[in-house]
Amino acid sequence: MSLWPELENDLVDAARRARPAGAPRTASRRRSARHSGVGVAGAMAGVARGALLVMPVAILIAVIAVVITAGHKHAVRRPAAAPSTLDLEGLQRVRLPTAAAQIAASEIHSQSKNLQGGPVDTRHGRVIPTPWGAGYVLSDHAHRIACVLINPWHGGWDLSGCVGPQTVSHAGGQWDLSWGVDTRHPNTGVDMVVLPAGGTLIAQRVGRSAHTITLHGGVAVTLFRHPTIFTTDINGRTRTTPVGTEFPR
Amino acid sequence: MSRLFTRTTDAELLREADQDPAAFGVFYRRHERAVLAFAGHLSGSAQLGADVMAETFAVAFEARDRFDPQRGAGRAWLFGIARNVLGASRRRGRVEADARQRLGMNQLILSQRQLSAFDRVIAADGEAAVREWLSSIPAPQRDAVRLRVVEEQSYASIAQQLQCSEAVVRQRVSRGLATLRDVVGGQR
Repeated sequence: MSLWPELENDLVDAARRARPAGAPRTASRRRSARHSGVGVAGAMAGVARGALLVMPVAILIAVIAVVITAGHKHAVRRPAAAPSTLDLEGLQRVRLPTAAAQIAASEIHSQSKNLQGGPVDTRHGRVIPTPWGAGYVLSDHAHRIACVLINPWHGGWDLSGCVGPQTVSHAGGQWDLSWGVDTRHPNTGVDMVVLPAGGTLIAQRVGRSAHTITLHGGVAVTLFRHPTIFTTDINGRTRTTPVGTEFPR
Repeated sequence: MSRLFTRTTDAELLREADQDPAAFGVFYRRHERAVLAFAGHLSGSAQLGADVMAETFAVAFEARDRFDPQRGAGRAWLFGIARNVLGASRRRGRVEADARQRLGMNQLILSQRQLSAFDRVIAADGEAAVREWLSSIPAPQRDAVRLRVVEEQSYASIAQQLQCSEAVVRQRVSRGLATLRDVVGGQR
């Protein structure tokens, strides 16, 4: 798994933006393949040529937290591709457990200078289901920032990181976060994908069938074994992210 | 899968990036750990190392057309870029971000957990990455460059350790760096 998936994604996005005119539209090919019933496996075979790599025997488990955002920062120009607010109203708002609130306050304070928007409420969160029980989405008053708190394997609360419109509006409206390697579970990685409303996420483990990740009020936390390929689709713009693949040196 | 990048060379990946952006992602993954370890070891900081790494890959993407596998491997090329980025950053007093800005890249936030993971990578692989970087130059130059560039010792101190004159040390450092620069080629 990439140590810094956000950077990798940012570089790939930059490469995509810099792609010369006339280059193959890989995204639309992927979409067509899936919609034609070939499925993600067929789509991958056609386009994500770098996506799947031979993996060591090690099995990695990843958590994908997907925050589907609503609102459209540039609604007229590019609907649903650049949201400015998050769709959190459907999630129950509760007071955070003390330990979770402490982690949130500490982590968010350290990131505050990089976040645009109002102060994040670190005492309350919106409940999301995770494989380890409740997790929380923290936000500012205007729901322009989302920070996700989970308690993986009940080993302690972790803040995934925060996303805001300044990043969501970039790169077609999606941004990935990751913790990288969890020292308690060396083969565990955590990815978070932020998508605008209407976005979908499909996961496919190598050699297995693809499945769509179920969203709960716009948020999903799911366990995966590696290597797995995640495909996001936002208004026909697809992006593929391999998770847990390793490359020979 | 119709095709794997596993056996694809760095040069092929960089060429392919024009048509399939995922290829540059593969290139990044292939060298991420080594470049982070190298930049972190030279800068002495995981945060700085990560920042230098990000700029290094951005520069590499911009310069992908100029990568010449005849001059050296992709990793050596990246090490050379990283050192240039670090050098320029030191001169300016801040980490270079020009390439990232030109590419419209995000300002990325690193969590404490990520920084801790980076620290571990740098501690585990930093020394090996530097050794790999220096492996293409003769031993006398290697020692001189290591002491001067990596350990940032004075020429006088190096001369004393290597039991030669300062002039000889300067010459070895100069020649060693020139050889290493040759691997990087015209990336800037």
